[in-house]
Amino acid sequence: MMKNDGKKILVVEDEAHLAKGLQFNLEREGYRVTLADNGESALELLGKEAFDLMILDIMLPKLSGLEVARKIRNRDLRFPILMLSAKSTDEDRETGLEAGADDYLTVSLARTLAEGERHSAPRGMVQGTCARSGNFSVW
Amino acid sequence: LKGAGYLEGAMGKLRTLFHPIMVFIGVQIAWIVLMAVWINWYLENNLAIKEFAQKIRPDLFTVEIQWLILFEGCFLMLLILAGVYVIFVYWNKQNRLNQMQSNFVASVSHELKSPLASIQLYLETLKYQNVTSEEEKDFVEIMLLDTQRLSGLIDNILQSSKADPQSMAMQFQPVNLGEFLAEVVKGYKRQFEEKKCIVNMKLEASPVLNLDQRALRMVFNNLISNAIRYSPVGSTLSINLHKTGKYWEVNFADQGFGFDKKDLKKIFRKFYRVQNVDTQNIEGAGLGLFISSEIVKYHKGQLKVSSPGRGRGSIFSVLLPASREV
Repeated sequence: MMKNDGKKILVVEDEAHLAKGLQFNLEREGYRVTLADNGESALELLGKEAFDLMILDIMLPKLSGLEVARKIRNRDLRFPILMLSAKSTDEDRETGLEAGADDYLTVSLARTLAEGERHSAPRGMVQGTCARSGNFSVW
Repeated sequence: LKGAGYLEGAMGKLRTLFHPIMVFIGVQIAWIVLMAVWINWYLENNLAIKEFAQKIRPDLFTVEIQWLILFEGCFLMLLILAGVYVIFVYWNKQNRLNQMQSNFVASVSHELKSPLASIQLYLETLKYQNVTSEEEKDFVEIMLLDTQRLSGLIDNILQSSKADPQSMAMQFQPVNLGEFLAEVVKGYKRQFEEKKCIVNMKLEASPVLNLDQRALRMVFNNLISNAIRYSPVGSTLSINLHKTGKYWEVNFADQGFGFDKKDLKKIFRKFYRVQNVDTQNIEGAGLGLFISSEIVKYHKGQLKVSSPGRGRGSIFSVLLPASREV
């Protein structure tokens, strides 16, 4: 039996290396991963397919992650969005959450993923902040 | 809420009022008015002044309007005006430098963090996941590319701080330009694949020139990585080496975001970054082209750019004098 029931995650990241690393780790956890390298193609994909979760980089060409998040919330799509960025100040975090993200991660996902399997704290982290989008356990 | 909106509007107006240009215009108007008032006063009260002067010091009295004094006054006023103008120009310059510096710090720290985040992610993956030896090899290769990117950026920063003729000591040695170019391009194989970029390389000849290989590697690295970074997925990069007149010319023609005419002149400036929708979220320090053009200049060559317009690609040409041929 596969972990995480093959839930679908859309990873929007323009840095090819990061995207690939995230995809590898998420697929190892049993998720199905679709990659988009810019905000516009992510929105396009969302029009065609339903996803259980979105991991969204802030610094994207053309349409920034924040704008993408706002557009999604304006369309009234309710699924968890995790903002991903190398920026990690409280201000960045707040802007991300205001734009409609459910949580804000700095890139250290491999650990979050692996540790999440053993500890319950990271599991609660996402669960706790997803009130807006319902109860969704990611890891 | 209405109050807040009003306050914001008022603050906006206040900001416009204190904008450097508004302040400058205001100061100039104030001086000119003051000067006009003073001239007017002097002319009107000329008689009274004369009478007054006659009472105290009759020897100073002259019949004519004292044009010399009037002229001196005007001259001093003009000096003050010029002084204000100089202060304004430098103040603006300083402002712009401060702005550029903070932009630079923000973008450089992001530039440094991205490859670092990638390395961290892969190291953690190796630590926490079971990976096959093939995957491991792949990850190590990715990490090596990221370290290469990091060291390229650090090179740029170090080089930019000493990009002046005195401290930029070039070490020229005979370099086979064609072979060297092919070697640099080969190093980008993976990045080209990742962006599905097709590379057409044409070497008309392969001259041996006296060059600083390390510096020129930075030039080629900057131009190739820019072409990759500022082009959409699946575009073509044409690189060719040929002779034009007294120069050996290396062309990098991409199908990337291109430039507006107004940006063409500015892109070689230190810290300059093109601001438009296509590129606004692509990070960069604004150093690569500045350093590259300085390096090419020290080879007595030229770095040129042309673009048919925004969204229509660009061509960067490195011209190296044929007189450098060994």
